[in-house]
Amino acid sequence: MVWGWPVAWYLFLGGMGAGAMLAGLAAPLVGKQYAVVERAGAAVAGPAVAVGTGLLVFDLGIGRHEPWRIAYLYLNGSSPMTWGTWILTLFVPVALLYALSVTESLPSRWERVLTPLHRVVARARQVLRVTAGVLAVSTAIYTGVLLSMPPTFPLLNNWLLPALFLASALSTGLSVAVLVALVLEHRRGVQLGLHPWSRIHIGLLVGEIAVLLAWLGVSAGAPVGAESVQMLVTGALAPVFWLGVVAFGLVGPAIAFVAETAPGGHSCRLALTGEAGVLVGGLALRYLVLAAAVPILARPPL
Amino acid sequence: MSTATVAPVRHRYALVVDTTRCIGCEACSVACRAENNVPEGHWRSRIVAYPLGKSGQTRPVKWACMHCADAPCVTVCPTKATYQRPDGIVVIDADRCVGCKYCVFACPYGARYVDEERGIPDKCDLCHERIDAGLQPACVQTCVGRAISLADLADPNDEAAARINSGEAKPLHPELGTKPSVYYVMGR
Repeated sequence: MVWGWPVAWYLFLGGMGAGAMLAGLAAPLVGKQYAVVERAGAAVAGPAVAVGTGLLVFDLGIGRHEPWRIAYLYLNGSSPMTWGTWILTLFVPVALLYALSVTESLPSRWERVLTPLHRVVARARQVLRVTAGVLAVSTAIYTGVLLSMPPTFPLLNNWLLPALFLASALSTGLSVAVLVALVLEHRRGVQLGLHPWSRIHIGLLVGEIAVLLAWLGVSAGAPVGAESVQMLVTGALAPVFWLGVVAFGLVGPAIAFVAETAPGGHSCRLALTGEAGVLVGGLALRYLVLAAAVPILARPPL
Repeated sequence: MSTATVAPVRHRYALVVDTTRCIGCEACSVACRAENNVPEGHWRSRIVAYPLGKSGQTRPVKWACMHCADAPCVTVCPTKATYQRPDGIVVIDADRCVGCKYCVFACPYGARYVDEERGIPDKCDLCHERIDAGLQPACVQTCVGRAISLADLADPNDEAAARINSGEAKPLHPELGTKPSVYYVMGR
């Protein structure tokens, strides 16, 4: 593995942060009472992507010790990593400003500093909303493009990978936004009705399962790609795949959300368990994408 | 008063490896290590057992950077630390590299390793400093069977280039679409 756990965590956090932003942006469309989901998604997005970006810097070789070299990362317009550098550089501050623009109460310790800034960003909320949305979609997709571009790993070298990353980002982002919203509302003693979110999430999970199946099918049909699929489905990585991705991340949450939305069933605990499972599955998926990538030619002992 | 101007000499370098002359002694691998101060535990170039030709028989094959004309490592390098010289040699400018390892990830030939101590990837650079000084790459110079030759595709009289142009020497895995510049005489 050229890239290991720090990059897997970044892929997870970057996707989750981008998805949280999109879930937050969708909240006003789902219902007026869900402004708290909008605030929660916006609040998670910037910090999650920032922590992920920190992990990327940590994973650099010489760039970690000589950080001024990072400036060179902005320069090759043909490299998806340069695109990503620009996207992350813009997304984190835009997400933070947007979060500030929708916040209800400023932390008292920072009030004096933030109040004037809050006044400015609140006026630019609409512009920030659109910008944050475009950057969130870019953040969710570019990593898939980055991994799929070289011809080196048949498992990754197809357009379904960016689609899978987008699906996973939407699902994990929605989960974290709902979880944080529940915590915020619980503090205020408000019971947040989750039915519409669970219904949306069922749709997202069905979509993700379809993309996952298509991706595995396309990969299994490619030379060497079949080896990767075998590793995932019956080989060394199968426990993580079936337990982490399928059980915790897809099927388990789908059952929990169906039960939650069933007539008479409004168990917050069921929804919570589902959301937590989605996050575990999201991390497992990002790790497996890196771990199961078998190179098209056997690596020489260099 | 006239100033003597030297017309720029254009070159297009490639490597021809005649596997029918290779005895697998690894003298090229060792000469490469010595010439390029390759760190302990790594190699820029190695002999690997590889199935070749119509028979698919395993033979010793010199394996290193293929100096692809359409190199994934050049395309993906975000800092342009990896770039292709006008003469076709793919080189790394260590002063620009951040050590992101995208090039290592992208190379389908697996021709790069990470020098952990420097935090920078490394690979064969065709001994370009020797070539610029009018010398042969260390592997070419050392090979006991004269199995390795530096070809200049821009030189119509170059014998090694003729073996490429005639189709006698072929690249490995052209189907990957990277247009490699290392050509192999595969024999039967």
